[in-house]
Amino acid sequence: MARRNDKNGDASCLDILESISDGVFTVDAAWKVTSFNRAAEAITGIDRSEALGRPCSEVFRSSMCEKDCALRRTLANGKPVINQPCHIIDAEGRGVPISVSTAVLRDQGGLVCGGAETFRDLSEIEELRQALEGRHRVGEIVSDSPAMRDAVELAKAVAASASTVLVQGETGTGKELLARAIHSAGPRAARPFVAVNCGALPDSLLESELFGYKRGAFTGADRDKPGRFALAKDGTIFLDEIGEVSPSMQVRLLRVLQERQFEPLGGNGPEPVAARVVAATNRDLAALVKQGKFREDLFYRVNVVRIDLPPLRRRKVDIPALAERFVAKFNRLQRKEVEGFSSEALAALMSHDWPGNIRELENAVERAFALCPGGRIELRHLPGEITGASPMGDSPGGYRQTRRAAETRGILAAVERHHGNRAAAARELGVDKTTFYRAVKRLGLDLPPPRVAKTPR
Amino acid sequence: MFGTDIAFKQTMKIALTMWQGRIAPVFDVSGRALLVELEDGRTLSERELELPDGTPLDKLAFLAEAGVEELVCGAMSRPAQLAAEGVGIKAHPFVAGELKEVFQAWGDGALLEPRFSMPGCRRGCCRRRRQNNN
Repeated sequence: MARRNDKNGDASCLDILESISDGVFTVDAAWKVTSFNRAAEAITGIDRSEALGRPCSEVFRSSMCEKDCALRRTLANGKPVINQPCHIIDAEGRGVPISVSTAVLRDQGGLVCGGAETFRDLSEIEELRQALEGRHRVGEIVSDSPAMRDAVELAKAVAASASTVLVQGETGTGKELLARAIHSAGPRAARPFVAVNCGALPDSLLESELFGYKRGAFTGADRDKPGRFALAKDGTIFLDEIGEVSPSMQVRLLRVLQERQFEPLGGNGPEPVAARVVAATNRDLAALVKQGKFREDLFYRVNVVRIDLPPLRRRKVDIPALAERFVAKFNRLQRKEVEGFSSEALAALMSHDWPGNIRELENAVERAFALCPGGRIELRHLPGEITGASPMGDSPGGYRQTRRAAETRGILAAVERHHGNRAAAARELGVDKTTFYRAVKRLGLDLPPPRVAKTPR
Repeated sequence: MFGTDIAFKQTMKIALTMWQGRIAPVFDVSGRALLVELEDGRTLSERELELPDGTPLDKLAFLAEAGVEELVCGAMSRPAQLAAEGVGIKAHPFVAGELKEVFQAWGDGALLEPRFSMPGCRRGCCRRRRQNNN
């Protein structure tokens, strides 16, 4: 191995450092990086040549920098830190989990001349831990919102049990997704997951759908057909829109949940219910009970563990990430390369209240895809009901979004009125062309090209 | 006209995260920012802000409420970058350098020069910075 000049001298030490899989770097008294081994290059993605001589915080970029630097503590109190977990941010903005250990460097006189930090990439361990603990993300549900975290934690807690669960939330909030996540996170993950929309079928069809029928049970029943309870076996049965079920069907369901058995139409005897029941509704079941529209005893049977899914307007912090996921999805399906959203478009998404929740967001992205050939989705690609929404919502920066939206609309409208003529638009707005172009650049606007106005005959 | 007075006042606020006289290395955990208010490119006022502890979104919400439209900062996680877009702040992440020099470079449109890039940021994040700058 090539030898290098090193403040600490020993060339064989450098060879050892180059051969290990932990990242190691050293800093001088001014916190500038003085050495950076091969593993440090690999874990951080930064070439040694770019790291040497730079402040270590700008190279390392860890969650401990600035306020909680392990090396700073070690140099202050002389005590090494061992395996402190944290994360670093790479050039793509990804967090890489690592653990850090530190040591003091002393010169031949015993004076402190710098520090050394060793760090280990924990990414693989983190992935293995998540796999062992059964998908911490609870299926496909990912959220940074405190409101959603409660739902996710409760879902994880209930996954291992056989308790009946009621998921309550507005339309389009992901109730089935949560039910599947509960199923996947528990011991029934390898068993069937069977969903039934109880609100979509009249009683007669719902009954045969849920409980099945035997051959000869009625005209046309020429063979046995297992119902959804039978198909679910010892997996999970998901009863969606349980609040829509008729009073007579409620009685049937109550008996099934009480006695843990059901009877197929035309059957000779009951069959056991081995599946775990997850029910869902967008209605307030307790209120329906008070109104006499839902049986109180059935309510208590399904409301054993209740998880409330918040509407999207209460978890707006998740909108950018959700919208990005939909962009990725439609890029795959439509083989496009849409790059995301302009600032104005994203601000509009954050301002809208989303009465249709995540499903409405997905539809909006899909509609934008129809208008956006590539590049970024702009404000004009979004449905009108979103761009016309009041910006004075509960999202942070509501006032600034009003101002930006007003400026944007004012400029675009003036340009449109003058058929793309920028000078005329600027005159109408009462400003000189320099100011006009500066505003266009600041707002990131994509003005339509000038066109010849049609003169009336 | 409604938009005229608002659109062309040309005042704006920019924040630069700061630590030890340089751009703070990691936005997600940074504690202070310099808030500069400008009018027609001239500095009207400067003051230091204590950023709230908590998530990057808490810091961004705080900056948004303070009227910040652009943010120059160090390393920024992807969720924080998305959240910045979401609250209407144009972020210039992965910038390094002495605070005043960086502010000057921002004013001159020179933030993309290599001397203001963090190590390892010549690809990927720099492309995003170029998009944000346009």
